[in-house]
Amino acid sequence: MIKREWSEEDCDAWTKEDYLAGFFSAISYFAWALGIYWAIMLEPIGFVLIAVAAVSTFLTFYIIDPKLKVQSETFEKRQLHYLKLLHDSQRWSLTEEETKKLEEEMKELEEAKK
Amino acid sequence: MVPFSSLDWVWVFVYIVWFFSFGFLFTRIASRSQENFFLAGRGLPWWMPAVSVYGTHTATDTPIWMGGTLYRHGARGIWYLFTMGWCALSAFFSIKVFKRSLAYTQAEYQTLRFAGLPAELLRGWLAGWQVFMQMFVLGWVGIAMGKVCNMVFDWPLWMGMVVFTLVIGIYSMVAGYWGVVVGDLQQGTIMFILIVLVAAYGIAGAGGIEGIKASLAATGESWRLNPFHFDAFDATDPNNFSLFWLITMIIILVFGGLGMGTHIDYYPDAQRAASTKSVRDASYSIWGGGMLIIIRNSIWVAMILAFFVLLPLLSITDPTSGYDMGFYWIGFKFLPSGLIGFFFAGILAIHISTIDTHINLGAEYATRDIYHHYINPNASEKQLVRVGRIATILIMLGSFVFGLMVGEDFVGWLIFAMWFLSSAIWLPQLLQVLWWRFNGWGYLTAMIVNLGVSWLIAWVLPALGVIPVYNDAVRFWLMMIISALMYLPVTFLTKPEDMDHLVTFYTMTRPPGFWGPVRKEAIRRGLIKEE
Repeated sequence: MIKREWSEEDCDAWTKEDYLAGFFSAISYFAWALGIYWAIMLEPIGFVLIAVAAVSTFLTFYIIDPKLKVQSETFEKRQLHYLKLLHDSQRWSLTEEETKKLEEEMKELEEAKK
Repeated sequence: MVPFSSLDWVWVFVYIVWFFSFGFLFTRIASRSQENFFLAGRGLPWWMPAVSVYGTHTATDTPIWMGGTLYRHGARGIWYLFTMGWCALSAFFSIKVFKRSLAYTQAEYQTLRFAGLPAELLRGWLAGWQVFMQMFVLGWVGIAMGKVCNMVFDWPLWMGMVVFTLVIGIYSMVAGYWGVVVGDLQQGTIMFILIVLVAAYGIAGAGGIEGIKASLAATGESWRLNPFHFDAFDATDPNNFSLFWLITMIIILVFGGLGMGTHIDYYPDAQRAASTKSVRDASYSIWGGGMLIIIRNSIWVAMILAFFVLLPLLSITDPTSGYDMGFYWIGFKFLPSGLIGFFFAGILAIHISTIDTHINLGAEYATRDIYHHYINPNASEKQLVRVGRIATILIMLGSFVFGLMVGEDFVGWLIFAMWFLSSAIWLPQLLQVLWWRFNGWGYLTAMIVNLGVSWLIAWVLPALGVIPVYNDAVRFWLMMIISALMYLPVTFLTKPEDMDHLVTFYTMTRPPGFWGPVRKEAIRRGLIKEE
């Protein structure tokens, strides 16, 4: 039911694992917040909520960690190329594609003038 | 004034020497490049930025605004403190997108997400806004230190702010983000120990947990123990805590988790995510940092309930009554001689961890987005680090002006800044992540509307008697609606972003939501595979 094996091809898609991790993560935040407060106030519900929080936290990472690992490795392979794009954009340099596109647009403009 | 023993002064002295040694340790590495000075070379494991997130958001003003809110509201005030709840979702949604964009700042992200003139206008606007906001944040955190020093040493308010901010400014200038994040690690740890310690002493001083419950029951204040004690809805009561308010807050957190930059805390946290070594580390750093804050808050609730039992009659309308100083009052009153110095060193620690972050962050926006992108695109790495250091000093000086403006009325300013100053852009912040058709012109419109309308609705129109003073939840929805009426038509009346630009952005960041046409085009070009 929960996919634990991911490949470079499918790791970037948004799947039920992402939404489930988000759901359990939110539950764990609420449960830790209320659980710790009520536990300090010696209310039994506080200890129950801490147990819920611990289970939710475990589920969050159990579900999402295999996917995040593959996502990270896949992204790191492409990172150098992306950093080059960022470098160009920061310094207002045009990439090869942008230069080509600009040249085509100039040609079209000139032809339209003629 | 609080009497300090010799041992207390030893604690303070040892801590200051310890802290400065970090600065000198990182001088050389921070000077290598812009990436090192602002992002620690993008190589940090998740737990370091996570503690830094926690350290940054635990400042000298935090006990004051949290203490004030909890003194007003009792345990239900926990929901006001739940602002970091956005991290629960953001860690697995928007922060991943931001990390993959490789942008240094949220301003730079604008030129990756949007294209052309509106993108550049947005970047310039956001960079200028963030430089201003960091000075503003530094101002109120600085004046909080002024309040503490006033309480401890009887110094005038400005003195505590200027002395300590100046010292930390020099540290940040030397050590850059390396010094910030490594310093936060030890500062965050010291502060967590102290919060637990002060809470324990405070609760014991108020007669223990059972004593607190009995005292509240005897004075008819038992409702303060209940985090779900709602008032009947009243739109014109600024302190009204209704179910409507809680639902609004949860919606705000969802928006914050799926969107970007909705909350002022997002900006330093995005810097932390950018400084991690991988997407996975970025996610966990935000999740872990948010969680530490959530745990801290719960301990704080019990501590302030104890403070209320000890001093129940403080006026919540008079900022000089000290109703918001519970944490400091308990610490200085109940900790034994010898530990007082440790407590003050801990206060220095939280002050440092926040001030150095915001000084470095403001300098990052000034250097990366303003100087490097618009003034000197061909600057060398050495020049950029030098500009970063100059910006550090200028931002620190600017913060003194804002600090003196904020003065004593803390809680009001902070609720305004944290919840309200960006209400009109909550939805646009979400749309920029989730919806391909939302464009730069629409977002720019939302930014401008937000700036004008937030001041109008919060202060100007109520002061002129045109509208009543609405509570935060009502103002939030009002601003959402007013701004949407302006930026949505602008979005539809202007062209979508250039498809080439969108395809590059999509392939790089893979955002969630409604990106159908862009995804199709990326598949057609063979850049990604069909899912």
